[in-house]
Amino acid sequence: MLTRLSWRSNSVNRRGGFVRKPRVAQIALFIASALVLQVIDNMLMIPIPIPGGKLGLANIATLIALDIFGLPTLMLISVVRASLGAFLSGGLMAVFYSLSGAILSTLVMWPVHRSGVIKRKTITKFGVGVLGAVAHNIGQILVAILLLKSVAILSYLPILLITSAFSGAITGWVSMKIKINT
Amino acid sequence: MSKNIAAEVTSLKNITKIDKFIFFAVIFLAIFWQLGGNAILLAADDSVARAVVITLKGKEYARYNLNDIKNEKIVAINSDIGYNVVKLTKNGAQVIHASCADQVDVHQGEITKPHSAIVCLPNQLVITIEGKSEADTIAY
Repeated sequence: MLTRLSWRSNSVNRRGGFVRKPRVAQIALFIASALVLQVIDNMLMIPIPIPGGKLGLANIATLIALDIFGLPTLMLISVVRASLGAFLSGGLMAVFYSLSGAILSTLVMWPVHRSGVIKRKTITKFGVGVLGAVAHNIGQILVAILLLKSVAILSYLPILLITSAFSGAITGWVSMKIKINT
Repeated sequence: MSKNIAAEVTSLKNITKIDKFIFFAVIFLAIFWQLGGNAILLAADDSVARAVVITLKGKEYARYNLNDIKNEKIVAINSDIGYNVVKLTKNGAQVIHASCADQVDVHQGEITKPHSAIVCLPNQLVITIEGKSEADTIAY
């Protein structure tokens, strides 16, 4: 949790501006660590099966990457992570669910995080993590509605929102504690 | 040094008001959604005839009228993805066995109210209860 990752990169400014030329090695590191977190997340057994009862640990890597990369690179990281992770755990259907959640959560988290960086002390990774988790679940529900051709899945939305609020808060808080020297 | 790190880990003071607002807004939204949904279900509860509709992969698989069921009826649903065993009683429907990994549908228990649903995402199965709502009764 307190790991101080560091690498030499002079392309991040102090105001939290992102790298103009992201390095392949950095992107690969983020994808790899996100994948490991996703595999651990799949192995964690939650005693009571609740819909969407996952911590979403892989989101920690995306939350940290928000500080470093721009939107295209973030999208690349989350899309590659989601599709590879889904192939590792589930099947073809899991790829659709995972991709929609990852894309929507990145699209929500990036502007929210940028606004938090530009206006200090407005929103931190905690709030960004909660919103990202909510967006992830809503993306998955949208795919489920399309696949099942039924809106019955919306009855699970309240429990999904509550679990995503707590899991997003946990992942957001953890990612706040990880400092990266750039 | 280690003392500072411990203080840093345990403090939540970095979290702003907007963060807290977002967190509680999501929880309140969920609670209101649930309560609102329950209110709609209660309003529709004075149903005349109820049916259980089983939908597999987006297509209607079977439909059972609950008034026709004497004691209970076991329905097995097999597809290329997996299987689910549904128990129908005169009150509602329940999934008793499923091939999916998470077993969310089995743990959900019995659904009895109109418009409530059991969804098994891995097997692409949706079980809903249909009830004739007040508007339908008037139109009779």
